[in-house]
Amino acid sequence: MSGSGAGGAPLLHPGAAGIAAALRRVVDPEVGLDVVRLGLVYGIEWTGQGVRVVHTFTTPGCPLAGHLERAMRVTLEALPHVGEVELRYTAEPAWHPDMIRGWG
Amino acid sequence: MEGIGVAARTPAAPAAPAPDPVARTGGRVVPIPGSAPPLALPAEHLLAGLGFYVAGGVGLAVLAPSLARGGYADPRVAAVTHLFTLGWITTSIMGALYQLLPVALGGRFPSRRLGHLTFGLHVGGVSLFVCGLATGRTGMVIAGAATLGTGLLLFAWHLAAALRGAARRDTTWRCLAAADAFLVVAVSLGVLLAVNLRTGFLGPGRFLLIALHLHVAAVGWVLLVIVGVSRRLLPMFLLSHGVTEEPGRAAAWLLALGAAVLALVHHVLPLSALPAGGGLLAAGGAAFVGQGALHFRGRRRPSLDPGMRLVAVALALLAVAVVLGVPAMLMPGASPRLATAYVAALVVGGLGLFVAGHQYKILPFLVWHHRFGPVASERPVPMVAELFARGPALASVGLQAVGAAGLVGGILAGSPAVTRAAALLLACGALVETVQLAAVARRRPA
Repeated sequence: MSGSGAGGAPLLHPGAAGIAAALRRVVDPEVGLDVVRLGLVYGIEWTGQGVRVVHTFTTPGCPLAGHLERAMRVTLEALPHVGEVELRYTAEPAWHPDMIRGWG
Repeated sequence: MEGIGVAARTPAAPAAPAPDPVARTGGRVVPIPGSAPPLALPAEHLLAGLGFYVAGGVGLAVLAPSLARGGYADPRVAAVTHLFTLGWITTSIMGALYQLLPVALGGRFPSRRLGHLTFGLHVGGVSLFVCGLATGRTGMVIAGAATLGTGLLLFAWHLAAALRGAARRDTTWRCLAAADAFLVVAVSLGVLLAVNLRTGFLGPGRFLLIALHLHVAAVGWVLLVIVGVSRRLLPMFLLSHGVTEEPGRAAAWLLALGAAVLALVHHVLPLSALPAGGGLLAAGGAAFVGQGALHFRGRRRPSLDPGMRLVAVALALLAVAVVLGVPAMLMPGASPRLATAYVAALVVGGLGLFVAGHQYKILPFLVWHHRFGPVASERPVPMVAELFARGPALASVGLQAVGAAGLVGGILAGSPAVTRAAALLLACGALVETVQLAAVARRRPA
């Protein structure tokens, strides 16, 4: 459990760290790194109804876009107490290999 | 095997640090371009291309004595050259474009049925044409040329239609558009040469036309496509985003201008324009090699996979072709062996190995995308690179690299034995790759 409601009551959602941990199970099948380590996840925020993940792809028009988005959605929707899952794709800033957080 | 799937990874890793805040994104949402065709269309092209590659390798071994003498005028050498240029390289490029263009440029080929039709015409035509050349049957050559020419012109129209509707018009688009035009010019020059077989109307001028046809096809069509798609593929496969693209842009302009000069020399420009055209091609080739080297130097992938190793070898042999091409152009006819070695370095080494390297990337990716991707959220699936065994792939890369380099060296040295041995190594490497990728094409999720 992490986070707190407007009135200070604890929320049951897993928190940004829990969401990021879950997204580390989503792996780019070409590069072999998960989307968090690859630096594709730009932000995680809680909305009134659930979680919003702002993400990019390694290139605009990435042929794996559909697979990665579906896998992220399935992964997050399987978590308890997450609510609605919103995936927001953005190309700004453009992804760059410097965003990779280590190999192996 | 691990994959995208929910259950694919080892148990959830300890909580990772939270990603950077959403405010960094700027918030502009860019739509994902259109979808690619079903697997069958690109796959049939890629697999047929591999079949031609093996046949071409065997053909080189058979013709080794002729090659080592510099016998580029031998019709059987022309037959094997077309196994590479039309059968191996062009068929593979067609298949790759059916997949790449919709994704990279947001364009759409109007008709899958037309794609299959042009494939049949092209493959049947190339087979007839090559058999006719190899056996000296002029009627078969002309029938094959007519069939494959029809297929190529239909494909050129199809590509033009896809480019016309493309959402993005960048350097890649311009390269493909120019390459498409040069494909039509190359077919036209080829038709003249085929008619000359029956009528002999070109006389001694046929040798010049053969050289122009070769360069408009190999550089204007094939290399321009390679330059254009490399802008997208090399950063993606090497993770070399951010590398300057200036050499690649310069290469595109230089190659297009050079090929245009050569296309016009025969009917419009004087022969004295030939060195200028050749110089532009050499400069363009060198610029593209430089661009490729920058991508490899700037890559973030710690180790190279088999496909990218082969691409690195291809770039090195393209550099060799540039070096050999300058004296071959300045002293035409002075050294048939030099001219033959130059064409081998360009077609078999630079262009052929570049395509072979990308086949190791593209076909497994397509199979994953169409067959494994849809179930990756439900069950564990292999990674793309796990669809074939790395050991045999590395062996294939080694055989192809040594074979192509040895072929050029054997021809330069005038050694039939070295030339034949190198050609056999190349053919073995091509066979291993073909067997591996044919097995990949059959793979389905368990």
